[in-house]
Amino acid sequence: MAQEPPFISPSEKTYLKGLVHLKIKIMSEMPNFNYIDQLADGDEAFKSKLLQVVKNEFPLELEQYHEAVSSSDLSKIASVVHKLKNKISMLGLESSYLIAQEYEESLKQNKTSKKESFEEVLTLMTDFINSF
Amino acid sequence: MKNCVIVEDEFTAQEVAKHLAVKYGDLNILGTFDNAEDALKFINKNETVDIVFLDIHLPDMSGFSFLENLTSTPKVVLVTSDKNLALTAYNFDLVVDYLVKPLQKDRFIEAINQC
Repeated sequence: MAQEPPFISPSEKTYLKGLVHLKIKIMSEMPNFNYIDQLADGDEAFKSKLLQVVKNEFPLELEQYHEAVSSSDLSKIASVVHKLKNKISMLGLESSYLIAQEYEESLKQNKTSKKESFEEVLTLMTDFINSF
Repeated sequence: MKNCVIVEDEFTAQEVAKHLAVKYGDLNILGTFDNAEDALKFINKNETVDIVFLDIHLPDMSGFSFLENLTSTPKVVLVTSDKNLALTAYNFDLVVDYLVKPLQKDRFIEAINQC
């Protein structure tokens, strides 16, 4: 016997559509060096130094994030997410920055919406940072 | 040449601020601090500090509490990833500008010119 498809209300459909669009936007967004190149303005020594600082600091922040998540301390998570926003932006991840902003705001209201999307951003950043 | 201090707990942002201060601001960096307590001690003892680049979200103290505890009177440029605190920032006479991270060269120069 064929199963009936689950009923989805129009408001749920709109919400799900929004989520799908956001996900596509994040997935199509790639980290890049545009900001860093503009800042360095041909100064390769500075660029290389800055990238090294990012490479050293990001894993520590990632660790702080996971520790905060494990302890379920929402205000601590918000604080780490806030700190990570600068790197997200520096790597040209504009839509991801908005995700981080929404996640930080939700954490301040004792909620965890956008957690999953934010963690996808972290994975994307990890892969990129490990590649240079 | 003006003297500045950078108070920022994120090392990547510190590096960006240092680069801009030296390359485009023609500033002499007297110190870089990743916590408010050490920075406050230094700035309150050194009247030669002309400009402070101050991150609002510090681990041990908010940038606003930091400003309340300043006994010297340098010009302060607030630096933050939070766009929503600008109005509060301008309640402090020492604050001359408010920069959103990541720092942009042109806005940074504009801020320096106001100091």
